[in-house]
Amino acid sequence: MVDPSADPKLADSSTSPSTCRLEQPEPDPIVEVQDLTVQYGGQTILEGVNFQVHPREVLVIAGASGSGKSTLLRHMLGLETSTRGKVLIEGEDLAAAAIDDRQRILRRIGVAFQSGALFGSMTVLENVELPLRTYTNLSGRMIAMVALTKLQLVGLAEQAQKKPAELSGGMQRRAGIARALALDPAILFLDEPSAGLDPFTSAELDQLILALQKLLNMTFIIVSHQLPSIFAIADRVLLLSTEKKTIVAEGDPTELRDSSPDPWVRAFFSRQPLEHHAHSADSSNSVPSRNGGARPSANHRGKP
Amino acid sequence: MGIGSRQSQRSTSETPAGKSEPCKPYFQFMPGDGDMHLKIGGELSLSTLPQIWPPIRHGLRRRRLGNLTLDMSHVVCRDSACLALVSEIRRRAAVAGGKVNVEGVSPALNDLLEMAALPDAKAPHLFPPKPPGIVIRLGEKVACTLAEAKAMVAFVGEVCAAFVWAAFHPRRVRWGDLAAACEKIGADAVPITLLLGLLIGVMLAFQSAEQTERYGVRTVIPAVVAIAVTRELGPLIVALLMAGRTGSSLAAELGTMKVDQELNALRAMGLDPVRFLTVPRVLAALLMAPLLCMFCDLAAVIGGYTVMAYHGMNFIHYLIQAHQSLNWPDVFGGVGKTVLEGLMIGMVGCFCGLRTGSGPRAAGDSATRSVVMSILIVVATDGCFGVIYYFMRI
Repeated sequence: MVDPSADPKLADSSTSPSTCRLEQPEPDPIVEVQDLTVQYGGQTILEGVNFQVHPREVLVIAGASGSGKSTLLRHMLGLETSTRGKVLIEGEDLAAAAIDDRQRILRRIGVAFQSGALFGSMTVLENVELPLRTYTNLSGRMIAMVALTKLQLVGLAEQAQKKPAELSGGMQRRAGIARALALDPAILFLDEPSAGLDPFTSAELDQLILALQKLLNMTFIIVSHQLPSIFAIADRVLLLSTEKKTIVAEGDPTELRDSSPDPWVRAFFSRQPLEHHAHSADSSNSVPSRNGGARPSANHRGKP
Repeated sequence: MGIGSRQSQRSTSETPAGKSEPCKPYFQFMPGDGDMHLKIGGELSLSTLPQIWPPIRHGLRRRRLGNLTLDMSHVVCRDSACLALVSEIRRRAAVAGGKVNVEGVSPALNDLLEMAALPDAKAPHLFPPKPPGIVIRLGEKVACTLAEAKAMVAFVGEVCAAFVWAAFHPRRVRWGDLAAACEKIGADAVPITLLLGLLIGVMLAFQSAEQTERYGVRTVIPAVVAIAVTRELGPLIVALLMAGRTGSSLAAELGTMKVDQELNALRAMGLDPVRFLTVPRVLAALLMAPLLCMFCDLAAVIGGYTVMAYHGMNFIHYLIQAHQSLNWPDVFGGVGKTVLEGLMIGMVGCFCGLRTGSGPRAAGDSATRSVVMSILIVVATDGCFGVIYYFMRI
């Protein structure tokens, strides 16, 4: 997974023999979502979503509450069946894969759920050890040390022998991230990783994501609307709209904030109240609505 | 050991003459100026880690380890396995009273190593804490049981006070909740109660038929079924059914509400969970238990007739026999018991639910505890009533 030559810092300092250097990462997308449409009981949640994720990319999926971010994530993980379209992980359709293929694909994926989703009957360390025990032939001591190291990466080594119920919500979420990291997956899916975390821990988590991306070439797909984290780590952001049920903006978050033609997108990334943004918006006569559509502005309707 | 060395000169015997497999991990121990020097190279990953971990641990154990310089300039990290290896080397050195100085790593890897450095290099959290001795555990169990009993007594007092409050403030009682609880505890349980009663009646009549036939007194079977069911079996069966069905349901419902912080929300709004949640539920259990008992008694008597019909007894004759054998105290004594048992089951279910801990298993644990406590209390109460009725000649 590591290619020292791909990272200038690594390449500069590394004196490793050239024989140990690996090939350049393939330019093909590591994840590809094709025309994904999701409907529940006749209600459309996502409509014709298309995008690609490239290796070593930190992609953030953002959007207003109820815009289908978590639904999109579940479909990317093959946990639910879409109404139309498909999701390819490293070129393979996870939802349609046979059980053996599915296991092989899942081995390359790590997922940290919003609530942590830790197993309550195990200690935190045992939770992180579980994937290592399942998928590797390491000895018990090695597994324990690898798991403890992963816990330390998220600042929880001292909580290793506690049960999940003894941890706070934020700690449980971080332990879930440690478990997702256990096998050093090629792709890491994180659902709202920094929601509810204090600013220090949130910043440390951002640092960890960047360090893992840099050193281990991990690809991150993160569902979040924590703007400081998005600006700190995202290579690219996909913005989902509740009204349009699809991606309404895609690109570098700073560029989207500063120069998106859509006032709603600028308002989203500027974290401005919608009415305030309407008064300051100079490129549109419409006020962005909370859900990502537009309605006539107050001035446009003749109000004082 | 499977360790290939690319070093032309080897200072220790741990690195056997290597085949030229370029990316295999290797290591060398080299004595330095007072400090031990360990050089690691090759490709490190979770799959190659087992090739290098045991011999390095063995080498560290064999040496009198003080401070150690770890040269990682020839390491290629394919995943985070190198972090675990460094942590293990640091742990070994720390246990021996030394320190590890890592050299030759890129800034990116150095950052990650810093993030992965354990707060206590000896890694005490690698091992589960020693469990307390049996005496301590026994003491804790006794203390826990006593605390539980104390809390139960306090809860009974709270519920009594809440009922008094409800009697003086009937308009503030949530009657809608009471109706819903009555439906759930009573109406929804009628089919299973009828089925159980019917089967109990059938079994009792069958068992009695064989015994009474020996003495030629088969005509007493209606009386046996009617008295046994109304005095003892009906109330007991209904109480056990409610303990399993209602008690667990109440505990799980309130337990889930507690886990989801709904109880905290009530308290924060100035509402007392005992008045708000417990009163309607306990009242419903208290009211529905005797009704279910009567349904059970009726079904059991009818069940008994199915056996007697097989033996040629007329239904009217069967009913007359059963009716003549029963006194009002038999019926009211049995049904009366269930009022108290219903009250207790409701209180135990709510008590266990309100004392639910945290975590995903907490609500399930509360439900289990509620069922066990309810069954124990029901059987004990039934025994007490048996003694009381005996002395009262009921």
